Amino acid sequence: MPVENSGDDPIEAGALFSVVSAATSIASGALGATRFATETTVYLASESTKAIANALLDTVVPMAVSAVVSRIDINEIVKDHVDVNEIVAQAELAPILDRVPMTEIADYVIEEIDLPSLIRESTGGVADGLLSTLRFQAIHTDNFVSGIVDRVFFRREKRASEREVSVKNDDV
Amino acid sequence: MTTFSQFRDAFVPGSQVHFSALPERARSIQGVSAGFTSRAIAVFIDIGLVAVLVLGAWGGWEGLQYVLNGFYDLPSVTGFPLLLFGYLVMWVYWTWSWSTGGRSLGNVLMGLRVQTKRGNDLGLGLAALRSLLSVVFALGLAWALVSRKNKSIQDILLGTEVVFDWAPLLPKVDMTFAMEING
Repeated sequence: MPVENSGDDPIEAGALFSVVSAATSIASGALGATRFATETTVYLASESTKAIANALLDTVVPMAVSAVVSRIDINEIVKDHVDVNEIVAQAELAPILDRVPMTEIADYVIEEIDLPSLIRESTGGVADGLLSTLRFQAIHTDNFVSGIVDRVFFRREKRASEREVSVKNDDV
Repeated sequence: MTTFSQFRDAFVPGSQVHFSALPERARSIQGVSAGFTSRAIAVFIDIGLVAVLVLGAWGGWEGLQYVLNGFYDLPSVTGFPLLLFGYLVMWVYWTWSWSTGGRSLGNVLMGLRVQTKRGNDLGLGLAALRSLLSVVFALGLAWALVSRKNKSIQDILLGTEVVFDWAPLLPKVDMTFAMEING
């Protein structure tokens, strides 16, 4: 058997090639699998770390902020560092005014300052006051006279006009 | 003092706020039947007005007689005819004023109004009848002293009444809203 010629044997060379190529395939396959496994592990690890970190922050940050806020006076800070007038000056007034119940406020002001009586006093003047006085005096005389008549007739119930005026006088 | 919030809370949606020009003390008596004194004063004012009118007309008439006829026995009209003329003017005046809003001058000054039991204005016929009865029998008013509802004889016969109505030109006073706030 010519052993020295073995390298030239085409069959042997083919076998060797097959073996080498198979080994290469296996090696690259193993490499790919390893890479996949590594990447997956890294990805999962990073994601779970993020989730844990978020959960931790969600708990810790509000506590920390509230601990901080409770120890400082935000009003003071705003007063010292923020120009409130500047902010208000930039605010849109129209939408705010749209929400303000104008007529109700007007009614309220009229009622509160008693505008009708102001008008009465400023326009009616002395003549109106004299007329009211005359009318009231007549009404009081009415009540006085009808009171006497009703007493003579032993009536217990007062007349309507007398009732209304006396009730009103108790209030005033 | 009412705050705006209280005012708002008391506000009934759909209700309209009437602010009355009437003095507050006078609000409760509006529409209530008026007593003898107020009405008597009103009558005297009307009589005064009619007296001025009649005497004016009389003076004018006598003056005209003087101008037309020269010297003659002044005055030409006296006594009963003049009184009758006064009654006639009074009747016409009351008829006119009661049928057009229920208020003569005396009623306006005293804040009174003549109306039917249901609160309507008197028609011309009813006003004329009431006016006639009032002129012929003015003492009928004295029954208002005795009547529980302050009714004169004329009121009883014709189903009318005289009420306080100080401000006929203003909308009727709606006190419901004010009461909700104050009480």
